[in-house]
Amino acid sequence: MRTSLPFAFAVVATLAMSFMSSRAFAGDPSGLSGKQLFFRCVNCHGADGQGLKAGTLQVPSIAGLDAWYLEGQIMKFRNDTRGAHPNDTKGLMMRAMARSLNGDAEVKAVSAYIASLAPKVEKPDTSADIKRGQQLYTMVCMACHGANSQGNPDPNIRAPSQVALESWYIQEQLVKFRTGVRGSVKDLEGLRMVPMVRDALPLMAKNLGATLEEADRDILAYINTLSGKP
Amino acid sequence: MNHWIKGVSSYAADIDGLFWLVTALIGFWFIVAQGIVIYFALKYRRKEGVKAAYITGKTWRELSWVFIPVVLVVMCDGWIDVATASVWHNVKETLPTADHKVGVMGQQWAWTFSHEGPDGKLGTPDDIVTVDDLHVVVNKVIHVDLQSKDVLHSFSIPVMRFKQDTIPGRSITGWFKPTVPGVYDVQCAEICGLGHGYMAARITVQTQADYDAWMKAVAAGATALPGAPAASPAPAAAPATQVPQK
Ligand code: HEC
Ligand code: HEC
Ligand SMILES: [Cu+2]
Repeated sequence: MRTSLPFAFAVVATLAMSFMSSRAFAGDPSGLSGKQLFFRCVNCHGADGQGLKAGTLQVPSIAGLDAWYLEGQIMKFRNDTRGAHPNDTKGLMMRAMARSLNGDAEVKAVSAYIASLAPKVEKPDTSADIKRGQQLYTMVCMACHGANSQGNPDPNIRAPSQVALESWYIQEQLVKFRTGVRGSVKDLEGLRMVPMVRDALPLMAKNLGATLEEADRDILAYINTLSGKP
Repeated sequence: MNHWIKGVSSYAADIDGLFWLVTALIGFWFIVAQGIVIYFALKYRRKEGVKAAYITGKTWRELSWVFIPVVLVVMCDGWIDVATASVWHNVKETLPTADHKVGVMGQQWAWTFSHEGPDGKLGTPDDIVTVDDLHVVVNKVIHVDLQSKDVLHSFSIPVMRFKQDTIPGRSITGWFKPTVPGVYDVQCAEICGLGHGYMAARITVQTQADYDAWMKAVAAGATALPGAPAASPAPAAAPATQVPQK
């Protein structure tokens, strides 16, 4: 009879644990703060959201993006409007991670936290023709992204500020918009970008005697000179 | 038995048969062995004035407690081996002629499926490529060509009793023949990174007519592809008058 107390304790503890874990799987709102939720993201986006390169996988900096834009993008990853194209290797990864958040409240909380982080600052590429970058930006991008790339949350535009983004990432996204990997009839905001960077930009670049690669490079360099302030 | 996962492939019942055979044989020996242990533990428990005996297992009578069960269990093993061999042969060593072929690409963390387009051939430009959404025709032999873009994954359709690793750099052929129309779960059954738990997909088993209608709808642009190239409007670039004059 001496063993009965520890034995009873073990039985009760096992039952309690299985009860608790079944509750955890029942989808209750977790009540985690944005900062706590962000722990799930640091493996890829880095401890301060500054992005990182893990092996061959380069993950973008997201720190300091606008909360409305972050929320919108995470929701897109969740509902198959972004990162659901068969050729969008990185998008498909982020799509899975976006689904690890439990409901709109968590999306909002983590977005607010990421928006509060200090954005990454990049120096403009000096090998680029920044003046031509300015011309191209003014002609093709400014109407939506704003004169200082401050972004525009107007429901009819919803174009983000680009200053917190890294150049390599912008370049990758431009290619995705051009090749139909991002922006579709299900993603009307992304679709706004498609004719701009696929059709209009090459045309304008040609007028200025630049190749598309040069145009991209020049615009990226110019974006890095902008303040992002209205 | 409705609360068990349904079996809707031609060989699901055979595989379940093996499962139940193993469960029954092991269950029987489990109960017998536990029964004897408990019975002996009670029968030979500590008693006043009886000293514990040191049993070395040297007499034939003692050894028979080892050898008789071993012989019986090995016979059960043989039974399982024989039963398994025929199922394994029919499921894994035989490849019935394909009615349809599907390309399955595992990647972190999604399944990409290539269906034969209207031309009935895989690997041509009219293939229908979907993410996490597999469509097959009921009562047709489906060959899956399993590949991986990055790490090990395992393509698992529980209701079909189908499960096979996908390995980077290799192309592995598997098959199943769905027997009941419906929408079922697909999962990744090999830990493949942070998003492994979110690597779920769906398989729709449908009649030939429904399948044709689905394919037509996709071909007509009501596409199953969220990111399919958009029929975008003409470029609406800012008018050229906005060009800064230098
Ligand atoms: C497995 C690595 C990984 C993890 C973990 C991860 N992400 Fe990402 N995330 C990516 C990659 C890769 C991209 C780039 C996608 C692309 O190229 O389109 C991305 C893109 C994003 C974007 C879009 C940025 C933009 O400028 O449009 C947001 C927002 C984002 N992630 C938020 C999060 C949040 C919030 C978490 C944590 C819940 C998280 N990510 C966890 C890999 C990851
Ligand atoms: C018609 C309005 C419009 C114009 C013009 C436009 N954009 Fe955009 N852009 C958008 C919208 C809207 C989004 C957000 C897409 C989304 O929600 O996925 C966007 C997104 C982007 C992104 C993705 C940012 C991220 O975090 O992933 C980049 C990069 C970008 N634009 C660059 C440009 C550049 C460079 C130009 C000029 C060559 C340009 N855009 C012109 C509307 C526009
Ligand atoms: Cu996997």
